[in-house]
Amino acid sequence: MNSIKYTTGLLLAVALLLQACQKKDNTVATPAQVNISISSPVNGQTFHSSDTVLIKADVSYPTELHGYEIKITDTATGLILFDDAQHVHNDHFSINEQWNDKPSQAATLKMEVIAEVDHDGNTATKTVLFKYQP
Amino acid sequence: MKQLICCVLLFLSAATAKACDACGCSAGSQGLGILPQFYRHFIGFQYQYRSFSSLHQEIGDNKPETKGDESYSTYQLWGRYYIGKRLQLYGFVPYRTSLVREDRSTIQNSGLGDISVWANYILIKTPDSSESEWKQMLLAGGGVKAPTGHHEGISVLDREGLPNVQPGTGSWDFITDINYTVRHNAIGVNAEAAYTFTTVDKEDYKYGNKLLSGLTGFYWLQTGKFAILPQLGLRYEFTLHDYDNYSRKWLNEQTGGSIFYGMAGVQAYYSHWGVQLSYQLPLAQNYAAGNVTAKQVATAGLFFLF
Repeated sequence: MNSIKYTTGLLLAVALLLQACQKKDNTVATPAQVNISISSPVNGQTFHSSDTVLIKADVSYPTELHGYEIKITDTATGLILFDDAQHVHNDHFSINEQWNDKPSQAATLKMEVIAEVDHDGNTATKTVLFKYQP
Repeated sequence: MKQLICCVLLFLSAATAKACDACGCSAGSQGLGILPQFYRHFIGFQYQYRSFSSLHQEIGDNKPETKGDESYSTYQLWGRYYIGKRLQLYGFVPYRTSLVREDRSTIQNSGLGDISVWANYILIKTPDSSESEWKQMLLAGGGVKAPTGHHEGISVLDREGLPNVQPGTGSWDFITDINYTVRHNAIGVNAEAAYTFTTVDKEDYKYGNKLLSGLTGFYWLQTGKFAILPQLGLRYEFTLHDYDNYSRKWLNEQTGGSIFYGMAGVQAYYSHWGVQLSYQLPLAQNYAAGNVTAKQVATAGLFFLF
């Protein structure tokens, strides 16, 4: 029975070795190289109850990105009012979303666009502040 | 000792599998296993059921992983046709369904899968006229799998290492295989390996190359036209990582891995007809960076030999 264990262990080790030999892009994850350009909303913009908040951004990076998250937070209370995340596997992508579910009171809001650089928790973030006035 | 107990349990599981209708051959690799030679051609229908559980990493801080349960069924028409005495042609026409259940959603897919065609050449065969107690046969060959199955591009589930949840892979793949059977009187062993070389799909995604291998012992019991072959064996599946973009060498290390299965099964033949049942349980595995866990494979088939 020990020979079965050794054979199993050997095959698993060979499998790991073969996977390790696969060619891959060895670009080191560098969040500082992520370029996030937010075109809407813009810093200081004011929205009213009848407005739709358009969320538009372009994200690029020298190698593969793995996804993004968008969060809109009330800066006074810390309450997250909007949160959406998507898996995207490319070196550039555009975000085009909208938000209508606005608060009942005036607020200063923070929108963060967070790009996921790898699966190890490396991210890049860009923030804009805007206002809501019912 | 644990392995021995496991093998016995597997064999008992196979016995109960007769009562249910779960069985088959699906999601990716294809092996021939032990095939009868007493008629040259056959046509058969197979059903294979495979199941997995998975963990899906969510994007964003502090978001819990979601859990999924995935099951794949393949209904396959297949057959063998001899050209001359040593060349065998095989054809496989699968119809695939998959069901993915996550915390809040269910995704179902079904449709015609990727059709494949193989040719095998008999390199060694003990002549039928031989009175030796030893019989052996060695086959080797290869084939091609065409992207005939429905494929709508690469999904998040593909990138998380699950076997393709769509009926087709969207790529042409090339297969090479070798299959050796040796029998001494009623006791025999079959060893086989099939390696699939994948190519990129139109989005430059490349599924990992795949090795399927197996070692199966069997016992041949024959009374008149009735033959039954109980089988016990080990199966080993190894898959290289996928590439999210092959030109850019974006290796997806969340995919690929290896799985060891213990297998118990039985084949029975009467006149021109044959049935097969088998059941596999993983004994050891390291798949999709630990995010995908293979649970079971069950297969059933019916042959008509001519």
